Amino acid sequence: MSYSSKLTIGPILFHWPAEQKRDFYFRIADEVQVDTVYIGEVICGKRAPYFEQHYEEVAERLSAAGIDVVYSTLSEVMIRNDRQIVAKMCADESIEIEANDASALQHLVGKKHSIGPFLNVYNEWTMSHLAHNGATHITLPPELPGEAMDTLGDKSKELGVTLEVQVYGRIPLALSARCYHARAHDRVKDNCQFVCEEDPDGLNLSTLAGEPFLTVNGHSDLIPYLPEPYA
Amino acid sequence: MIQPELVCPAGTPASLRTAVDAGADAVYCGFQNATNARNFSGLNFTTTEMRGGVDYAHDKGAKVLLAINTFPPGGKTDLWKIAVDDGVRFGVDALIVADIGVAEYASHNHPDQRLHLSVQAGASSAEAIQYYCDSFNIKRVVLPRILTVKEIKAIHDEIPCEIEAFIFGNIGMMAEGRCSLTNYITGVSTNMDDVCSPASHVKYEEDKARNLTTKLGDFTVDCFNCGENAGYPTVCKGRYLVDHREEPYYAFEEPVSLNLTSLLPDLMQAGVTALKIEGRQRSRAYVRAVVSAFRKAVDGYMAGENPELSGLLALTEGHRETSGAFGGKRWR
Repeated sequence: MSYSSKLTIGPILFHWPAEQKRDFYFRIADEVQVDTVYIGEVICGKRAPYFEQHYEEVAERLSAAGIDVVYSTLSEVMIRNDRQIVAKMCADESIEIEANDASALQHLVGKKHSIGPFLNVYNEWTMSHLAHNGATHITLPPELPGEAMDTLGDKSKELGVTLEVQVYGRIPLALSARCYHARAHDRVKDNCQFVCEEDPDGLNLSTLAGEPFLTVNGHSDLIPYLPEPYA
Repeated sequence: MIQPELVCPAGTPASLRTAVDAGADAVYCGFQNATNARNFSGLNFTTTEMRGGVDYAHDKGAKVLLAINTFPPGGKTDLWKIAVDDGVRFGVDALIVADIGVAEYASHNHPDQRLHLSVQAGASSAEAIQYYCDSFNIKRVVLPRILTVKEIKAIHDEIPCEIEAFIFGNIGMMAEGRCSLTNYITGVSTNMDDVCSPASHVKYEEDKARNLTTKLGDFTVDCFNCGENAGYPTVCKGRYLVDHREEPYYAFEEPVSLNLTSLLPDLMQAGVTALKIEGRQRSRAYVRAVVSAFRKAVDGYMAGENPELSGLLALTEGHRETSGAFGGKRWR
């Protein structure tokens, strides 16, 4: 049996100037054939306010082009500011939400929503629980083995849940409370002065032997290169 | 101020007995399989040992908290099912769970079994904790090591369950349950296969000038000159290069250990119910020394004294300590 797969573009993980982000999404609306685009800041609550003013116009433009828009929530929610951002987004009944941590789940119980790759869905038990609470679409963690994915595929059909996996681009590997971008510049998160904006593709770390190792992006780390054969 | 519970590591049955004898109010331990986030070879409990450990601890008035804190991959949930059922059958005082699915299984099939939310669940806000409490009747959350004492107090005031906080031992830099660095480097997953920077993938290479390179998988994690004290190559404690810095630097954290001795009274006043010591991979001698010291400290504070705890520094990694996020926002 064959299925018609949909193509999605995940949220921008890096800190770009708001206008650049807006124009990027406008170009997607004008030039790219995809089914869904995820917007929303998933990495850092400090970055989030910059783009908020553009959500509406970007969503309108994408929708007008026939593209579904989903708002992704922060992947790590800790301080009051993070909590308020997630609460506000989840309270908006007019938009579709992708939950990336359990605090978003708390706001979304009983409402239709998606589950993002930062929320651990490794097995059919978890999938059933989330579907029961209103999840209708789940992006699986990049490290999930193929065999497990098969099992979840079968379960998803039974539950009426659609599944998504990342097939291209750098893979987010880890989250932390500490901002490693700020640390690389001898600062801390509270006085970061948004130094991450200097690296639109992240900050590359290499090992002492000179091998490319990881890319730092605020308080997350990513695989530093594109997987073969796309590199 | 309520007397906090001292929760101590039991990597082996012998360590369990040592920790209980040294004054642990509770020990935490796991089975010898993938259900346990510290599945190091030579450690942990068979089912027979677990049953014996529970009996030993209960005879001495201590509790046993069973860590079933990994994320079962799809189609392989049976192992986790057996672990939960065995734990309940052996009378453990609580199951420490991280995966939503495991929490669901345990709460549905064993509604009277006390459940704690593992640090591996990474529940770092009142809403996230509330979600687990509402969904699975979680009685205690083990907080991620990323919050200040002030923030812990604020969370305490908003949630319906107890708080357990780490006070001593190794401090991982990445959010627990959300780190695939080991998988990227070694192909072994921390979340599913239960190890971080596994010894089986560690290499030490010495050159003619006696410089020692430490590697995890194929990646160099650090390099030490002759005479420098070489640390274990944990990814987030290594030195790396970045274009704008001339010298290699600890991109994530230096090789330090968590020691919250000086913040104990503050944590107790913030409403922390249980104080947790890391180190299931540590020796019995270590467990005895650390547990005895903290037993004295907690009892001392409760009696209004100011106990002497400087000896604990000798037991920290590289003899260097930090109060981590607990001490203030500048750690982030």
